[in-house]
Amino acid sequence: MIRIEDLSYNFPDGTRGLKKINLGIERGEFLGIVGRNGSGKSTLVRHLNGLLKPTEGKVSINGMDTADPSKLLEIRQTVSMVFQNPYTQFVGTTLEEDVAFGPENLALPPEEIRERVDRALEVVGLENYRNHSPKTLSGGQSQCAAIASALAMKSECIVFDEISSMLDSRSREQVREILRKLRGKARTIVYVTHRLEEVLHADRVLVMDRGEIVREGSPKTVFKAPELGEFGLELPPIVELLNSLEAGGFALDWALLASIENLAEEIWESRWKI
Amino acid sequence: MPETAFNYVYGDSLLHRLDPRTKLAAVMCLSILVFREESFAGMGLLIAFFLLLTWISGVRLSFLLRSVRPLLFFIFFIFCFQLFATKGTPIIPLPVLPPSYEGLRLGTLLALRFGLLLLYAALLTASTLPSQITNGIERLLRPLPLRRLGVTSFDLATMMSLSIRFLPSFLENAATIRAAQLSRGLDLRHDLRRGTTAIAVPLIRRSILSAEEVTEAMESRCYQGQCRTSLHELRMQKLDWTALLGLGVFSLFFLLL
Ligand SMILES: Nc1ncnc2c1ncn2[C@@H]1O[C@H](COP(=O)(O)OP(=O)(O)O)[C@@H](O)[C@H]1O
Ligand SMILES: [Mg+2]
Repeated sequence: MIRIEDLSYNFPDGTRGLKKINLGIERGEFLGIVGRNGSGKSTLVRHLNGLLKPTEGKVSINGMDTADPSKLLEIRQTVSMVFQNPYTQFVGTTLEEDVAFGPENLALPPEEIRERVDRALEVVGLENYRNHSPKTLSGGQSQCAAIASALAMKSECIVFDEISSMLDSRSREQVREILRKLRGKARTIVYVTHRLEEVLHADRVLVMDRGEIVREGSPKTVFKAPELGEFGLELPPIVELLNSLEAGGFALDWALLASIENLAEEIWESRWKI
Repeated sequence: MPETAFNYVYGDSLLHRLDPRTKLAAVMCLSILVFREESFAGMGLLIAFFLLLTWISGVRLSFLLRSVRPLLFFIFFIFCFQLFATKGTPIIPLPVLPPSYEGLRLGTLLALRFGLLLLYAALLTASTLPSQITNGIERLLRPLPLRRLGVTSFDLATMMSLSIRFLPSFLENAATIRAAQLSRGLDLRHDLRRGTTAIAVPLIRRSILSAEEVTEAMESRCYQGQCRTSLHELRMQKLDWTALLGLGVFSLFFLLL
């Protein structure tokens, strides 16, 4: 549904942001984008809904060119974004109003807005907080509100740009739980992060460095590459464990990463085979 | 500003249920009455009317009074100014600026006037969600030919509601930066000019950065300021027309008296 062809981007001050990016994203795919701070992840995903326009090359969403101003509204209805900072993307004075902001901009009838808001709040489990002000919501709850706001747009694709990097570990778990729920509902998800463990189960992972895509493939293949350290990335300990076991001739199924318990169980059971 | 000033109080009273446009019109109308009123009897009646509305709203009077507190000093200043500066029969014969009976009367009247204006405003904000006030103002402005000035009533309403949303964060930021600069040895008492810069520059910088993020979030959610609807679409009810009629009768009666 998304095609990026030879995309390069220079910032207004001339700094090179992106270099010759080529990328296709399929409908229903869960794409993880990783890379250290300043590697150009945010710059890339800001092209997906026309917040930034290519300096060279072309970005098209369902065939609509993001450089075409007359298509911008429809593009933004197709691709929603959730950003890093929970506070600056909360624009309503109450939770319910914030979630309603997008549908209101689409000039939908009030009944439809009401329905979308209720539905979205239910998915993120904040239906009892609808009249809360941003002051009385925790960081994690505000970030869930931002997810609800994106859901209320009923877009085909949602881009998450480092949504958990400003959260404590408990809120991060909360947000991850919601993401699990969202996955596989024929919705395309682009998930940007610098924590590799958050994209272990992605369909595909891109590694970015200095405005370029430097690795691409399934998490399993990408996370085996020994040079990830060069790109300023750190493998999660559990992946390191799996990799060294495999190097020692003891290959385990990658799917076991889904739960530590299962992995432990598997190792325990297979000790007889060694 | 204390947290409690001009805040919304949850409730389901008649006053809470009125359309914000009705309440805005009422506050405007009552403000005019308050400003025109020259007699203590009339002022008494307006105070009584305020108390009646407060009773209907179910909001505690002490809560509303707290909204006036930050401006108490200002009101007191006006009172003193009138008391001493108005010429007339002196209460105590002082050689310079003797307090006069006329001044006492005028000062009291003015102080009551300001106090009452603030209290009516506090009653409005206590019984109406900020978003509803914004909504009401937007609907009242919509017929004006604002487009020729390059803005829409929606833009104005959005600006207002963003200010309401982000003012507390702005103040919080200011306090954080001030504390940070003080802890680095900034001396506000000796060099106010440098001190102000040391606080204003990072504050403005931070606000602009946040504003950019807010803009991106709004644009991503299809904001265009052209045509919007609202989750709470306003609809005037029978209750509103009754209230406006009641208010009209009260004002007429008041002006003729
Ligand atoms: N407005 C700008 N002008 C110039 N350079 C910028 C601007 N915004 C970001 N950059 C630079 O572009 C690079 C990529 O930034 P970004 O896409 O935000 O990285 P990431 O999201 O991966 O942390 C960084 O080196 C950053 O300093
Ligand atoms: Mg980023």
